[in-house]
Amino acid sequence: MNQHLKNCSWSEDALQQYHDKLLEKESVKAFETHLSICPSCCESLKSLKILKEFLYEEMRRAVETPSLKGLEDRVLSQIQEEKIIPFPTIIKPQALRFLNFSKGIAAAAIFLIALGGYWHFHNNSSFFMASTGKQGLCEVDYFYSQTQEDVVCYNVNNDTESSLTVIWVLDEMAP
Amino acid sequence: MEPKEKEQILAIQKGEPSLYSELISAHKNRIFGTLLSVLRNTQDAEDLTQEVFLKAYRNITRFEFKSSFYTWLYRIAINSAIDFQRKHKKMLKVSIDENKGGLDVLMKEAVNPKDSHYLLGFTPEQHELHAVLTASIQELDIDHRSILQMREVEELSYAEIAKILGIKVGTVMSRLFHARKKVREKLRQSEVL
Repeated sequence: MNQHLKNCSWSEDALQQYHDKLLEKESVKAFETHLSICPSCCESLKSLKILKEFLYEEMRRAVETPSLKGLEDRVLSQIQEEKIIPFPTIIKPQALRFLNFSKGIAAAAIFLIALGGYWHFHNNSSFFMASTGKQGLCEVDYFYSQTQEDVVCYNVNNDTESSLTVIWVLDEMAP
Repeated sequence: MEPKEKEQILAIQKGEPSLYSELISAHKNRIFGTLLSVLRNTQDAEDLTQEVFLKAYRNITRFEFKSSFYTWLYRIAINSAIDFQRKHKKMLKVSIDENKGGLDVLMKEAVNPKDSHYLLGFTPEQHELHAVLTASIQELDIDHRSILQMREVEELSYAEIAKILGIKVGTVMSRLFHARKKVREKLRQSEVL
């Protein structure tokens, strides 16, 4: 077990959260009070600060070191020599592509439902059967019909009257 | 993002590579610093910096101005470093197995970095502290080292680190916790503090 945990009631987790400034306000006060009496926590906190300063200093030195001379030219000449071109289109990650695929499927389904609805209303016409005097709603097929009956048909969309071939009588009303 | 940088990126996206050199000049040092901090080898960091800028150029049409250009480059750099180190580790393992003396050389390099002129003004205690920290960070694997760099140097939040690495926030916290703990234990063992 960690030496810190052996000697102290505060957890290692709390110590690191304090260092990261992620400890809640009430806990910060309590922890700071504890720090004044706990050499073990003070030492642990000091080592975290030293580590941070060390890494920060390393980065600062690396950034200030005059290296990478001519990198721009090397990159550009490699781009030219190897004829590297940026990817022409935005290719999204696999997950997003799947999302788009799902969206496409949904859009196609909505389109088909809408088309079906349009087809349904477009081809459902009110009819008046002159021979029997019956009237109602019928489904009309222009291309192939099996039970042909000549009727006077009123298109529900524009109220025009025409002679059509009826295949299904949907709703028949009494004359 | 500065308007000038945005214009440059838009122009490059439309196929003007000559403007890319200005972007490289603006960001190369920080990217190199990040890679050096994670890889801990000057030559590898230099080589990979070039690779990162080439990779960024190939993918520049994917940059959608949702973050700063540096943040985008930084993501490429960190993930490239992790990929590089994983491949390199496999190769290194083979070479160490073939030549047992290799590990000693690596340890010497870790404790006595070549580019350490700044150490000239250090006291013996500071030298020792530096050596212990260098060696203990070197001993961490790339996953732990990169998270330490992101948190301590770039001061990224846990959520930002998780997003860059494509891992859960809990994993970030756990790796950070263990990385710091390992370094602290080394410091305690060495009694340099």
